[in-house]
Amino acid sequence: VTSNSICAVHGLNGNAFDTWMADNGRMWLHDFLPKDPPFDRSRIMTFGYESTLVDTRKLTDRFEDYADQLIREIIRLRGSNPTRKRPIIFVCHSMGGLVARLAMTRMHSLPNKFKGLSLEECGILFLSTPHLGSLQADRSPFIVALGEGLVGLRTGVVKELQSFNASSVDNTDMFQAMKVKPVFQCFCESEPTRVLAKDRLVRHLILSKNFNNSVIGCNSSLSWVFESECREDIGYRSSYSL
Amino acid sequence: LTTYKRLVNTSLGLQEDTKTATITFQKQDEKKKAKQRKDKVTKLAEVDDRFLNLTVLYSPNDHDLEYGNIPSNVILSF
Repeated sequence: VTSNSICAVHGLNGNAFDTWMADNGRMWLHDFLPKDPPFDRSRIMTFGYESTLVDTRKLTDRFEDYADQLIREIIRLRGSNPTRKRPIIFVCHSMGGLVARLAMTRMHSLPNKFKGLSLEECGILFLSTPHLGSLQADRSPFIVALGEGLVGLRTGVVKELQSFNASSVDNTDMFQAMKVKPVFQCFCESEPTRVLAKDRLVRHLILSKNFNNSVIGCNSSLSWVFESECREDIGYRSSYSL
Repeated sequence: LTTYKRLVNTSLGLQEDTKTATITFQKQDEKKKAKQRKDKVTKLAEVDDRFLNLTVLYSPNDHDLEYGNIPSNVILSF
């Protein structure tokens, strides 16, 4: 019998599959996790949304749309009564955590809009989520406008990721003020990840009030986990044991 | 002796050839791997029309499926 659900939410420039897949085509969510109890009794899902930084198709860059879509899709799958009471864990990478966090605050503030999923049943794993933005997204307004005009940079996404941007600060406060809050845990990397052919230690602004107590430094790079090629890989094993 | 060996190797182009061949092979291998990976992702993307929704990767029992609780278009079969 299915005991719980797991829903993966990818981050910036990712997609529902590629983010969680190793070079050899193995996806730890699909190929390894179902073989490891108690996750062999979990329904595992992956959520996809438009997360590209550059796009000329004028897509929506409103995070509310992604958050609403995430909740609606989950409610759609939880049609029967037993499935409605099933706990769900969101595994969110980077910007995906912002989408999931926004989904939680929207469920809290708009309970009538999202019937079929309650906050008590939710849990979130934030993997390197920039709760208060990231210094790496801080660029001058001129450069951002230039990027938008020249290559289709999605300014809405950039603004959501800039350090101490109003939207993130407000949503962090709202999340912390919620009476019923999902169980959550933040993880940050302590080893560099290869980004654009360079090893970088991705540091986001994740420390803040209550969040401060729940940040655990993974003794690895997150790419070790996502790009684990087999179940025995140290990245996957160490994360699984956490 | 080392200088002499290096000179002979360089003049015969042995060392360089081996090195170039290795690099070419590695590049071809990487390209092949990248293509395979891209093909798989593209195939997966086709299943999930616009990449904009929820896909079930694994479900331990078929009970929900039998009762139509999971629409068939969101089940991913590898």
